[in-house]
Amino acid sequence: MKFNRPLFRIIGFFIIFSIFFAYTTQVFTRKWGYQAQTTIFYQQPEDSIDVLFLGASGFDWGVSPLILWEETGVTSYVRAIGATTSSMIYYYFLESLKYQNPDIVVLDAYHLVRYWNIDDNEPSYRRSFEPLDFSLIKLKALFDISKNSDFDTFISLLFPFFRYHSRWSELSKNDFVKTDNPEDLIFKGQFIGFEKYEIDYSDEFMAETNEAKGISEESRDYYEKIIEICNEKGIHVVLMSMPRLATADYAEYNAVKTYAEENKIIFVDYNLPELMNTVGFEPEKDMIDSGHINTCGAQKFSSHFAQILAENYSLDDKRNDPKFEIWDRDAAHLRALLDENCN
Amino acid sequence: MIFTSSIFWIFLFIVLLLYFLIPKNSQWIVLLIASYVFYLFSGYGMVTFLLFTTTISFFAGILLEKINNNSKDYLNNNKSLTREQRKEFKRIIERKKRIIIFISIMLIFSILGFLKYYNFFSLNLTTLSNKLSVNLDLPSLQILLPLGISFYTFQSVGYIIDINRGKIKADKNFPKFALFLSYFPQIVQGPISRYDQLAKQLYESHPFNYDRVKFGFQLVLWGLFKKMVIADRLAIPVNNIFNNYLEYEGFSIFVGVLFFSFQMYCDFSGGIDIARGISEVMGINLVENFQRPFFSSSIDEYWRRWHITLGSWMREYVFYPLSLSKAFTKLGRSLRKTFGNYLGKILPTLIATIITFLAVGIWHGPNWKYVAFGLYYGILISAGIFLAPVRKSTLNKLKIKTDGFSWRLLNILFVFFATTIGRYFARADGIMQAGSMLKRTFSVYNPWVFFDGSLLKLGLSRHEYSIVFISILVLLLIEIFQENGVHIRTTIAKQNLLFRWSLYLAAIFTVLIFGIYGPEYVATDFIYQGF
Repeated sequence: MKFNRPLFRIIGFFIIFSIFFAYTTQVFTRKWGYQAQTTIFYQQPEDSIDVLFLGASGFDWGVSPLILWEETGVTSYVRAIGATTSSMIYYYFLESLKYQNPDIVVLDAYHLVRYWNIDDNEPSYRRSFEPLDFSLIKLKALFDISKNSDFDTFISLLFPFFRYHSRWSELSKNDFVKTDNPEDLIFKGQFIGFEKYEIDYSDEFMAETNEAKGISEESRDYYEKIIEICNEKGIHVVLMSMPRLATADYAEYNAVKTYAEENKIIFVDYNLPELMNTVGFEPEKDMIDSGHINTCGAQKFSSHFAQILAENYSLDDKRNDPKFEIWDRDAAHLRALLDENCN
Repeated sequence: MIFTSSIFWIFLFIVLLLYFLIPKNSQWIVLLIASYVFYLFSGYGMVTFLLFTTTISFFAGILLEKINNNSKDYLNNNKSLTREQRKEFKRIIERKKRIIIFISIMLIFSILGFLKYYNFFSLNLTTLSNKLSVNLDLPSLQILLPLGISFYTFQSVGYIIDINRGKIKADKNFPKFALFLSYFPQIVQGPISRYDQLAKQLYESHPFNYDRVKFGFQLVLWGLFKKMVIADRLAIPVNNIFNNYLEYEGFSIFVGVLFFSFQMYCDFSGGIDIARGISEVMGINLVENFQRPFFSSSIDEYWRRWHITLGSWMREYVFYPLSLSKAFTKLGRSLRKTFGNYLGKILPTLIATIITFLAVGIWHGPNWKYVAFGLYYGILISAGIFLAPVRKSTLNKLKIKTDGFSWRLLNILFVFFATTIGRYFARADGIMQAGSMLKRTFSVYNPWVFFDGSLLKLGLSRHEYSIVFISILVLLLIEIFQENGVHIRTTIAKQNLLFRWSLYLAAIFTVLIFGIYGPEYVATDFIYQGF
């Protein structure tokens, strides 16, 4: 074969360029704080998670897989991204099934009544999309979420460098070196924070009404696709809403409740005052900001949710399985933190 | 589809792939299809105007050539004709040709005139009529200017005139001729190519040549650097100052105009470099449109280095025909009688110069500021011609050395200053704004704006200014080398591989990182795209 020097040079240059480009992309891409949650999910042993929580930041802060472990011996993981959308919840679901075969999928009910396109809320899409490893599912998500936007959005999702190249003047050490705190990585996707935020919420909070807020058509489509796949695979679906003292309203609850009844799905709304009382929620102690509960609050809600799981589903208790010893160690670590900060 | 958009690069990648993969004799077909696809991106309706101009100039060319050939044949076959009869025959033929030229050029120019200048005339006529109490109320129309209309219009008119002059043969192949007028790298903002410079290259086959492709992409990269790193970054403070000029005065405005000088040069010449680079990749050499204009030591020289193809078009098809016309010859004769030999000789030239630059100004757009812009340069160059003897004798009397570097530098600085003044008209929204900004510049002395952080409030941070200054320094260095006859790309090609590839990567990543593009910024369209 004749040695084609220019061709080899072009290929060689392209390879070197691609290496530099990949590195530069890694440096310049915005660090959203969700990369660790995704990376650790990929590191979980295959088919080792029983319950998968998919949703938004309410789940990040409010759901504690280690409390569920402590109380029921069930393994779970939180894959939740701040202000994500039902479309991204769907793709996180599909992507999770590549690695895990859960018995239960808990979906964020909050997203059934709202939906936004990438042009309306670009950060929420990027936060969800960018941490994912490249795969066909990610590619499918890319085409889907950018279908109503312009070509540049598509390209900049495919190559995030083009979106972040102007960050050159704000680059910091954090962009060049991974600075994840190892302690943050052991809570199975849960975000840990013990700060207290005293919230003064409205008397009208969750005032009962017969009205029902409309369910978003787009979200309904994505959730129905999830439910369909779950039905095929024998996965139970649960809808859950964590406390949102600034924004929750009864009309939303009514809409989701009807939807859940139609689909014969358990719906747990922790915004209902009676449920809050049952849980022992103390708004002056258990919130970290106006929209999220802190780890002390998460302990209470997770403990309650553990009971729901135990009452409604027969899941294996793995606490004595030596393969899951690490869960005991991590749970003990969380328990120590709770004892230190929540009493 | 602008050159800096991602869609353009995907489009270009597909075009280049097809261009080099299909049989070489069909390459022009790829270019034609690509050019029309490119054009369609600017709007489906717009292509009608391009096709109209193409059709008119194509058939006018054929008709003119046919008349030329028939008349030659007739004269050859009728050698017995008397001198008078031949003269009469030629006169009739010339008249016929003139009619064809007049009709075709009028048709072509009427499209440009209507689309580009209708609103200008309607507004001014309405204003004038109101002042004269006639109350003529011409409606203002929402007209979208077809992409590159001024460029392809001038190219087609040049083609017709060149055929009439017997300089070129008419193109008999309509699709090929359509490619000449629509060739996508140059239709956005020129250069205005002549048929004999471009057409043959477009129709010829060009095999893949690694060195040529490499050189082409280097030129593209250089153009992108000028456009995206310098021009689009400078657009931020420039827009800030020109859009809010009443908030600025003195040096603040002057700095804004100075920035605009660099913005405009880097934007326009950057775009041309991209067009020339893409063409070079495909084996097509587009004419140069810039030759380091900031190194000009006279205004006349500046216009031979800046937008060269417009300048030469105007010289070829406006200045010479005008100054050599019967009317101007007559005018010269009568002026000689009245004012003597010197004035009689140069006055027609000065008048033709002013008219030519007025045309240059009006070509830029339908606005009185462009009329002022044209007059400014026309008068400046005419004054230079008129005062040349006085200048020469003064320099001799004062024994000023004019062959040294310092004298050249002084002239360069003067030209730079004079052209910067001209840019007040080019960038301001109107003649009133230009006048007001000039007044605000020279009526206030405030050099402290360079030191008190005022310039940091124009939209660029300290970091951004650093990028601008380093980039302009690089630009200046490269141009000094070029000015001294160094061919940068050939010099780079002689270096070893490690150095070359490091340089290429550094250049690519400079553009990728420091270029202004993407969703966060709305990159500005090429300035000359609007003409």
